[in-house]
Amino acid sequence: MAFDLSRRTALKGLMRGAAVTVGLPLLDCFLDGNGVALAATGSQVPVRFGTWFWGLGVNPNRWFPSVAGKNYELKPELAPIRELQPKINVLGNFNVLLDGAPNLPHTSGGPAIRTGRALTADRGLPGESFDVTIGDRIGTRTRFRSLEVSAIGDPRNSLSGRGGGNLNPSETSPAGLYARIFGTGFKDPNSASFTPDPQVMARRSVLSAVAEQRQALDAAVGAADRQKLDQYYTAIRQLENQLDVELTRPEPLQACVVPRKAPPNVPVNGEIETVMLNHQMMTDLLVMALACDQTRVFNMMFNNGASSLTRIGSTVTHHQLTHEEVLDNKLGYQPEATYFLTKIMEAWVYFVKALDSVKEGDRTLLDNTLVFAHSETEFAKFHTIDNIPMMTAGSGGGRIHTGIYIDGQGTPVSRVGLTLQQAMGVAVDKWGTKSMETNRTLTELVA
Amino acid sequence: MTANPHRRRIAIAGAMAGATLLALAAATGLPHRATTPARAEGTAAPALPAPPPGGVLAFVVQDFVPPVVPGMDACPHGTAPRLREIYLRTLPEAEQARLRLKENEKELTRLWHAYALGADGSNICSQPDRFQHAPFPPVESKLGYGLDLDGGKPGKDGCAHAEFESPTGIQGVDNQEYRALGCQPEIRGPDGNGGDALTGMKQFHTSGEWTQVIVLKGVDSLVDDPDVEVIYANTADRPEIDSKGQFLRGVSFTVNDTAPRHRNVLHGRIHNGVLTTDPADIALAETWGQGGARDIRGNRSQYHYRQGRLRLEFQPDGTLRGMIGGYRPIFDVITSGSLGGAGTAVVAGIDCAAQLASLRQYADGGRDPKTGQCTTISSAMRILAVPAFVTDLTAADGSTPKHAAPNRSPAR
Repeated sequence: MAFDLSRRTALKGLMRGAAVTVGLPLLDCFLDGNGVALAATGSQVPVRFGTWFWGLGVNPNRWFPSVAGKNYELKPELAPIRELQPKINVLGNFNVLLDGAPNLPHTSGGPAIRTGRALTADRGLPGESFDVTIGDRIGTRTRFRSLEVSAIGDPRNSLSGRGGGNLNPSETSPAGLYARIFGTGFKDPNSASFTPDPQVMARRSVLSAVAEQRQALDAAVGAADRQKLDQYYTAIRQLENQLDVELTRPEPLQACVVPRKAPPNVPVNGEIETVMLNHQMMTDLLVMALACDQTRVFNMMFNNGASSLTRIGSTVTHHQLTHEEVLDNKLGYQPEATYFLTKIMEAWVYFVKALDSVKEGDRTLLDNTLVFAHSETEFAKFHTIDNIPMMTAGSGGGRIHTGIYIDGQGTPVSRVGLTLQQAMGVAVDKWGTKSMETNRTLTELVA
Repeated sequence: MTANPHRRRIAIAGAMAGATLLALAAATGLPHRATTPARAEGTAAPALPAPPPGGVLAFVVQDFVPPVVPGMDACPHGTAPRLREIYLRTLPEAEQARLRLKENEKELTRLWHAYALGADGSNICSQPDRFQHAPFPPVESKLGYGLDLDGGKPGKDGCAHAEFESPTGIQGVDNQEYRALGCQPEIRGPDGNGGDALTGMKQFHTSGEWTQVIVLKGVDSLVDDPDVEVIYANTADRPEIDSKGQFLRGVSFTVNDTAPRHRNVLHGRIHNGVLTTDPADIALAETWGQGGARDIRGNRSQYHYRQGRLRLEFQPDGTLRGMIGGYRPIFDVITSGSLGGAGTAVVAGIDCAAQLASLRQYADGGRDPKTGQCTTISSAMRILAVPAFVTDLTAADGSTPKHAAPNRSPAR
């Protein structure tokens, strides 16, 4: 099949005698040169993976344990996790290696952890974030390959994507998240009846109808465009999978309790109390999305890198305080800025407890989940990106050990991403680029 | 260069294809503290070991920080105010009091943020010279660390200024940058001790962004040697650090000519256990990322010391402690804040225009013959360097590499 490629080219097919078309992404060739089992069914309990991000790091001497190993010391800023300590790992002393790339304040650290690459541009991701890679492994049989959520608002507040400038946008309100999960298209797995949605059936058929043309188009374009098309087709395959899921009667899920009503419309802003409340509501929805198997991958952003958090009625941001507030030589930290860290750790504990409160057989949802939490700086005042604080919670269905402090001893932070991918079943033996390329699994983490 | 019959083998030296391997091993393994240099002129040197065979020693710089004489007597008015406070002080007292009320915080924020912006789209940190702000109160103490750069009186290209005396009795210290900005909260904490910059800047040296190495060649004695070659360079290699953040000794580094690295070749001498170098332009990496896409790190900022020189004391524990001094173009001193633009002003609360005014007021070098104004300012950094191995890839044939010459930044 030959193509006369133009910006208006579309994949065309026939379905029940009617012509159907599917648009294409903007390709280079269109541009000029500048340019465990469930009790009810016997099915395997799904394993989930997710991330939890917070901005502006910690006070290192008040957060990181001093000695590696189990039963790690809980310093004042880590003390809120005490009750959950046996299920939480702390990771420290891993470095982001820049290889001459700039350390862009509040921007370089997060993408380096997620992609194993140093950021060279001011926005986007330098490569595929490993949550996406894991999603391709474990998230293909749910309505949503992943759910991205930002408790502080701003859909661009995300560290998840396939690279090339693409970021998976975040849901920014509890009501929006509810509508997305439990609104149109949601099938209660515990409902007595199941009726496939005719619209979904039609959409699925459209994609099937153009399959032949997709293959032919691959042969007609250059390598760069094939890469773009591959990314595009991955998205289509994901959509096909999701539509298949919607057309399949879901397995009953004991832990799934569909929220009866949507959360109220609440303000979305940077005031810490608002963000805490929104985070709680969004956490509760996300937990049920996992329990109802609507997704197996998630990314929760509590705040943003250059944190916009404020106290109620204040215009002074968390970010501003980390830079403006003088480091108290006697205390060794900034009390005003540290207030926000205290709230962040409180929110983290809420998140982990929410997962741990849902029973799945003999385990909890947390036990069947691996949550990776991290920040984007070590100590925000100086924008340091070595020793960025990181944690995991849950064992991913028994795939990793928990309750350990792991000292990276200055090795590349990409070891963490490599290990978590391996734990989640991704076939990868080395990961990262340049000085961050590593094949050194954190063996003490892997069960 | 004189022969030293007391040499003992404490280092290795060798050659590789296209490279010279330079090395030094520590004389002792004593822990080291980041203290200021204490040896005054005329004081006897401590017992020092003989230099290694081949006379080559190498170090990595662990501390490169503004030297601060602790205590608030230097700043009797307290540390410099933040921009919010500076704005408030421009208002009548009654209006200040009104705006300080909690219920008026939003109004105050809007107003002081506006104070950081100019009508022409400029802002107080990107274009500090477009704003007329009063200089900050200077350091008022007579004590200060640094080097005597002008021999006690300003030369024909200098400007008259008061000089400091070091706490160890060194007279004629020129460090007008300290005088101008020594009361900034980044330099001096509210308790009078060193401020954030003293700890914050270490990360740049730890990460390989600013890491500096010093190589000494032709050293026959650590006590007296009239002829020593000093290579003061940047390396992209990262130091190894211990659990307390101190640089480990004996770690290997490489100096090459990958831009924007710097390699300064200096001539010096050792007298009474103190290494000094002749005045020369010295350029070192000082990169900042605040500018994002506008100013990716390394594109334009650097430490540039005109008539720069080193005064470093050999220590019995194998370290070098001392100072670098020289005249910096005054705008270079506020490069970090300037690259940060309005964010520096409204996020960190730094008044770059007042900083520039202070630097202009106390500038003492590079006098413009037309205006009579000085364009550079005497400056010093305290150095602690620990023994290291350095492979100097750029010097194999003795030539000056393409990127090794000091980069010159225009005075502004």
